[in-house]
Amino acid sequence: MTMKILTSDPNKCNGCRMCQTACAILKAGVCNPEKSRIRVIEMDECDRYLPLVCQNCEDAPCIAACPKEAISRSYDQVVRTVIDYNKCVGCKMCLNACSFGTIGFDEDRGRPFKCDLCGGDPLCVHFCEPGALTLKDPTMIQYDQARVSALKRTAGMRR
Amino acid sequence: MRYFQVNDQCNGCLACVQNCPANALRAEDSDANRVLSHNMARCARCGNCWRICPQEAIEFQFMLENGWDAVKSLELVYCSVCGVPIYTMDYKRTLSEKLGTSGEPTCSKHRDEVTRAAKAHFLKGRSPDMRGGAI
Repeated sequence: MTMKILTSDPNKCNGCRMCQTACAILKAGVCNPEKSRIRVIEMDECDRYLPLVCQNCEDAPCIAACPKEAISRSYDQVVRTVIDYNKCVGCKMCLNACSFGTIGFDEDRGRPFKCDLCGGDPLCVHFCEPGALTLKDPTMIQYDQARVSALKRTAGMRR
Repeated sequence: MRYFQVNDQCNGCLACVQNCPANALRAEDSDANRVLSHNMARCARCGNCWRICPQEAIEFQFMLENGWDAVKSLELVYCSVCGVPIYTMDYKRTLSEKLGTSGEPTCSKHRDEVTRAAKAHFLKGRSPDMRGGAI
């Protein structure tokens, strides 16, 4: 069991969306950015791009919101949240619960999808030309410090 | 909504009851009355009853009507940015009960506004050359 987190650096991202293409082809088999687990959003205010991907939250709102208990934390290859499609009914509760909007919905199958970190070796990281995407393990991130600063930053904008 | 209807010409001969292959029709004699009942779940919609009825009392055409019955009407919640309907009031209540928090309702397109605004706030003023500040 390893804890890994996929981080993105908006200062390096050039908005080529290669990660979206690679992800969609690997996971959905089609070249359609809509089916990608990773999403790149534009930030007009500061002229930057921000790749967004499931953060595998500790207190995941998607797990709390799911009425069928279809989303759970998996510890097999890498710590992540996974959707059990045998239990999922497609109510979109998780989509509306996710603060990042990183859960997508497959209209053809009527089921949501999310990043599963490709079992510990995400393809998008290999395809990221400018090196904005990196898979970090927790020793590289000071979680306690990050939590304190995040709480300080988000104070007052709780949603 | 009653789909199986019998008009006033019925004289209670029970030919339909005898000939229903799905046992969807039943007659009960009680309190000086003969009551004919129809079971929608059993009915195969074969139209046998209508075909054999000597009085032409069975109004089977309502069984074949194509229509939609409204079964529920719920209040909608609209995206606070663009105003498209996203979910219902009850859906929002369920969601906030489960999460313990309730925020501005936003559609998937404008969900990014929150993330974008938060991130842009911290990146503002920094030059693109400056490395670091990864999330």
